[in-house]
Amino acid sequence: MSSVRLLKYASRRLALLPVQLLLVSLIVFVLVRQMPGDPTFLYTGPFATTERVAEVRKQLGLDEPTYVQYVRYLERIAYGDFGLSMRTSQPVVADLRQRLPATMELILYAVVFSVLIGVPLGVYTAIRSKGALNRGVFVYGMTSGALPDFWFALVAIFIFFYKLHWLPGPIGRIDLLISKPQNISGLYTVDALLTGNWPALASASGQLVLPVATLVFIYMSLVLKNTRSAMEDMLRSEFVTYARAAGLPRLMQWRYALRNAMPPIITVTGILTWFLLGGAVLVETVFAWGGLGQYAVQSVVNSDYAALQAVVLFSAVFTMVIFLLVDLAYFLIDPRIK
Amino acid sequence: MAPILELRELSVSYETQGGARAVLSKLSLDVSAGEALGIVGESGSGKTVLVRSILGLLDPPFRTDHGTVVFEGRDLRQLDEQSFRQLRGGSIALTTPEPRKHLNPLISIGRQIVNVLRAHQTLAEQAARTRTIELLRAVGIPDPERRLAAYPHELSGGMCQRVIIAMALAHQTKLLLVDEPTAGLDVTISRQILDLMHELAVSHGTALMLVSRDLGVVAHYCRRVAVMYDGRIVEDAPVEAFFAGPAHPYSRQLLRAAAASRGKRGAEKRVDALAEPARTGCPFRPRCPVAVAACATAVPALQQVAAGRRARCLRAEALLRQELAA
Repeated sequence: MSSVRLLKYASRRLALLPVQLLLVSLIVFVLVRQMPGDPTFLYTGPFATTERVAEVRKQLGLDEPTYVQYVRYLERIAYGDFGLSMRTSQPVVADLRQRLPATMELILYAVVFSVLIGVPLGVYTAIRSKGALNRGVFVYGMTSGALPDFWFALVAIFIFFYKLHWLPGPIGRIDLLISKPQNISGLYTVDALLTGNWPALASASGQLVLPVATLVFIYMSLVLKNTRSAMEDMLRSEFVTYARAAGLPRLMQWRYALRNAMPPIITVTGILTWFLLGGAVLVETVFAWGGLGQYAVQSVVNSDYAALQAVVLFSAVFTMVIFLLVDLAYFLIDPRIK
Repeated sequence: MAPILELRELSVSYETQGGARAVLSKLSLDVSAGEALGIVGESGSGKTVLVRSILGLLDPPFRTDHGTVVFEGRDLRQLDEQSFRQLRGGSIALTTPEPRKHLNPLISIGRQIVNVLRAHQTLAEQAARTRTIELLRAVGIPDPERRLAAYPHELSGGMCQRVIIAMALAHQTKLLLVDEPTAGLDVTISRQILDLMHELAVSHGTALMLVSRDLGVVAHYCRRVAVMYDGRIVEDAPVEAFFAGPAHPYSRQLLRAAAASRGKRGAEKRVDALAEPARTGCPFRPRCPVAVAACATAVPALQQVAAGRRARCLRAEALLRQELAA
């Protein structure tokens, strides 16, 4: 019964997605064209004659009114053509296919480890309000919020690569001498595992350690602090007090509290995931990761319309999917949501 | 009858930035097996803290400083957590005001009752389910098989209170602590709930400790009443005698306030702005209309003033002879 309701709810939400995307695409399309900088010069170079510039502009269709350009843009999107990146001279789709998995792999591991470490630590420190671990977590919470991620990344590279030689250097996603795994999902670790490509798996995992550790160290405190405060609130709630008065074992009391603390924990996990899509850009840069964040920044700097539009559109889809998943999780947990 | 619960000089304080504040001051009280005792007093008099301290549920900043809580011959304050857990919801159960808030909103009521059952006895899933249905039927929830899957938000406040009662009386409960049973329920529903509670308590031989601000409820369901003021018992009397003529000026004010709230004439003398309890002499002195000079120095003890009656007032006997007008 609840799965039918879930499907209904999800399909209602998904039906809204195209409308939302159309709106986002329009706004982005118009705003991008308000930016200073003319992409025509990117194409012609700075020394072209006025006639040559006008010719190129006509070729690119940039001389048309914005609404005509927009309609053309939508037509091409319908065929899966997001245009050419003027900076890389590649179809935007090809660029994204390469860069998106890089960022996704980073986000995936960063979020998974943030949750796997942050939630248990948050629960533990909510239950035991004293002790060494608690003091350590307190200090960590204060520190991590105050440190810039790129600085932490540089220090980590200095120590673990340069000094100790424990981990590989910041040279991207895989050792240059090791061939990439066959492309299935685009996530190197996953693809290497699926194809049994152990050297690639080892190298890709090794490359992931420092950037993921950096993101986890800096951003996990968000999950940890929210878990702890949600859990503390629930442990003080009337129903947990009553569960105690009714003689339920400690473990059961904690389970009651945790279940009720799940919605805020899920929300903050969603926010973290959403944030990292663009928020990891400095860490991506430090580790030469070649991810989406770097690509987005380059597109903005170079007035690369097609690339920028595609990145923003993808970010919108990503955001909507993340928050749809958050809402679906709420729906599954809380019977009060209709 | 021998008391099953004996509180001896129980002192609880509340830690504030300005130092500890006493919530219960050397409170002594007995509850006999199967008896129905009402605890009355204004908010802030320590009623709820009393109930929580019996169950060992006080967390910091509350602190039990002194005294013993003896239940069936065992001092609960010396009990280890595991044995105490078995007692809670087993021999001593609690019902609460605002029942819906005290049920887990994300778990079906059937599952919550099953969890309580299995916390106290080894029961197979199916047996626990059957027993849960019996319990729901016993507390007057219609169509219990179907209600097992209901969530608290799908039930009315009265129904939630019945679920709480079902959990409270799931075992061989010797003492049922009933905290403000009428809060959040309308009058007819709370009457039904109280009738049910009383009926079940009588049929199980369960002692009731009914904490309420509603004197009418206490008069109707209890045989004995204890009045609390400033963390102390100031009067302890059989219900009939108490309502016929209280032995403490605070009790008299409570009775008059209750009469006034029922809209009766002749109760025009309102309780004045609630003065803080005095720190020397009799704590009630700042609000007392019959205080004399001696009240400023002597701290009255809880003394026998008539057969089966105790009061904490220097002028109790005069009050009882109804000599003091105020």
